[in-house]
Amino acid sequence: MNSMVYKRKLPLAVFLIPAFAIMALFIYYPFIVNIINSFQKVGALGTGAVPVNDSGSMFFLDNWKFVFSDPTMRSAVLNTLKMMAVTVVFQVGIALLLALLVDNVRRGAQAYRTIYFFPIVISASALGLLFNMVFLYDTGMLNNILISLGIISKDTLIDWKSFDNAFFTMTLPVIWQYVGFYFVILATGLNNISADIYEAAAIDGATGFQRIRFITLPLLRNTIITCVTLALTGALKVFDLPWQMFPKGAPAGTTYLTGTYMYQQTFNVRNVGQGSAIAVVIVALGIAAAQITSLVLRPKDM
Amino acid sequence: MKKRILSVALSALLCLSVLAGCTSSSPSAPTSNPGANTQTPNNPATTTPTETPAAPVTIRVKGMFGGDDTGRVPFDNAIAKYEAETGNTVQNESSTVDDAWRASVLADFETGSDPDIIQYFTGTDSNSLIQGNKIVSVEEIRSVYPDYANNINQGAIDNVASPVDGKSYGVPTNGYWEGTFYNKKLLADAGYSEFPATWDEFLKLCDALVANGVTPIAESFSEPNYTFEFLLYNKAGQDIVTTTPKAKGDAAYNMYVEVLNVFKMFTDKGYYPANIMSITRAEAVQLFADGKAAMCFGGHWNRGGMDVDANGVKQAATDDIDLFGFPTENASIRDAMSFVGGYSSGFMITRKAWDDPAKRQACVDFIKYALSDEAVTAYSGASASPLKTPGKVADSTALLERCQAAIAKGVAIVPAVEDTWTVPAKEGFYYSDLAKFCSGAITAEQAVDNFIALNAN
Repeated sequence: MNSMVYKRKLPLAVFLIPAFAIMALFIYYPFIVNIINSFQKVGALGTGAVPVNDSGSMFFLDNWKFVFSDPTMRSAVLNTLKMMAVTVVFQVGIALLLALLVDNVRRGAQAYRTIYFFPIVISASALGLLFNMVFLYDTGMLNNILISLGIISKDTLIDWKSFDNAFFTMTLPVIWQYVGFYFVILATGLNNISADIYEAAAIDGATGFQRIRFITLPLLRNTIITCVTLALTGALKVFDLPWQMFPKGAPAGTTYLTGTYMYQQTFNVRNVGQGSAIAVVIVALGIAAAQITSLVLRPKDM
Repeated sequence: MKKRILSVALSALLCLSVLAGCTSSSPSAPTSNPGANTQTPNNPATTTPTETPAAPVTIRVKGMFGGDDTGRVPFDNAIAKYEAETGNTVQNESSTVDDAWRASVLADFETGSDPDIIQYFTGTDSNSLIQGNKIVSVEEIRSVYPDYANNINQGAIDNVASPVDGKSYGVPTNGYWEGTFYNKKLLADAGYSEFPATWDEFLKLCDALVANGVTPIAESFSEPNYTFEFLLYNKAGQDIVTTTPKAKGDAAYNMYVEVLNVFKMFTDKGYYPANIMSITRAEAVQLFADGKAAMCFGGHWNRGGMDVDANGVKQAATDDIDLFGFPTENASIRDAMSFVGGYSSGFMITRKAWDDPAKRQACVDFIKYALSDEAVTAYSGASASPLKTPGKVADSTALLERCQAAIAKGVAIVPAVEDTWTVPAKEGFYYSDLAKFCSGAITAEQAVDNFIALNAN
């Protein structure tokens, strides 16, 4: 039956062509146009592209000169790399810890899954507003809790969005929101590990830590790699929550990520050419991150 | 066989559903030659338009009177009246103004989804629309409809002339003013019964407020900065709008550096909130409305939020708030009761609608309803009215009346200098370099050098 399906190409084509056409129209074509735009002077939305610069060169390289010389762009790339590192370590790390703990819970495991997954279904804009209230300077929840605990006073309030604290304040909600996503993936991976192996290990006298170290983690390796890859590429796409909490890279453009800076250049500064060049950088970073992940953490056949 | 047909049909449906979004609504069949239409509509303030298109059309309007804007109700009323009396339909996509809204307006033009009418900023913000021939000048509209927007002062229309070609494209509905909101009680506690008119006295007041444990100025570096306007006005006088640095060391360059140094001095002396580098404009205004700061340099749009909060609850400091111009450094250059103000936005008909024979008349009619005397009076509220015969504001408050009394004492008013800056310059200077300079990350000269580079774009 299956072999018949694969021998007859027409049904395959009928089903594949629409999907390919949609991808070509909405992903590949815009991407190619985006690359072209990065070599053109597209000053603002509403005006056309100028392919040839004043010196007569066929390629307008100013957008790329900007990308490689702009200090804010450097800061945005650095913030994004930091965000990638933080998400891998904390999002996946905390999710793994929670999954291991919940895996040992005998009752209410499903309730924990629902609770941890819940932040994913809240819109990032709503979360941004929520965390803005948490981190407000003089009327914010966090500072008021710290005051009530006697850790700070009204004269020594903490500015959670200052130059020093902004990155921490930006990453905390991002981590919090997506821990549940990786938790569910890892919990599902843990469910696939046969209980017989644990029983055999227990008979051999393995401690709980040894079971995790020598059974759970090795057998969970491919799932962890999937989570790490998703976390790395996901960090490149983080936009809504940071933009809601730190619009225009506040304070003073120091909290831009590559995604938010691309938006700023394209829609607020109205330099589509520069925005396009940043978009290409984002794609390049994504490909590089995925490649490095697959090289360093090569999946193993189980 | 049935499965095969079904699969093909489903695939075709999938393709069509995707492509459906790419179709554009075809305009109604032309009913008349627009070029030959030389009717002269009556004054919309008193009469109803007599000529409407033969077939009802739907026009798409994207303006600023949406969300919780005070202009929303009168605008919605004007739309309802227009729809009822003309038979046309309005697809109203208006929203409160923010960066996302600005971007969405421009993105519509970029993607070929031009609205029929926009209400948009008339300064450098709309440069790309004019350069791209996306909107129609008032002059061109009046060549066909001589009485177009004839209830609006010509001076107000001239005030929104584009920096691109000197022509006016928008018809303004309400003007703006900027000044110094101050808390009389906090000033009295610091020993001042009146707002100081001179710069030296103003600095002494700030020092006294700091000594009293009060934040003198509720300021934010996260939005366009109204203090900058006044500080520059103090140095450049009436020439403020032409005072833009072009090269290192020119007169304007030195003025900008001096103004930036005042910001640094304010920051270093603790005149600003402790979280000045991160506080948002809304939070700063709330700080002032709560009576926790003594001054707030702002515009007429801040007054509503100083009267009541988002839930309509009266603000703590409302009864103590009054309005002043801005302390002067040299009265011969600028009087302390000179304000920044004018018109900076207006309704515009797009080229796409103007060239559509079915929509042209509908759009011109819409402007008559949207800019009727009744509607404009309601829009203008606390701001300046562009009407030839301004009406009385219905829902006035005591604070509004105090503000209007202060504005009435104004000896001069100049437009905001930022309206002459390019968008990249505004973005870089206000949202980034001002805070960087005040935090010591860059020098004033670097900030102005950056400004010159960005303003050349």
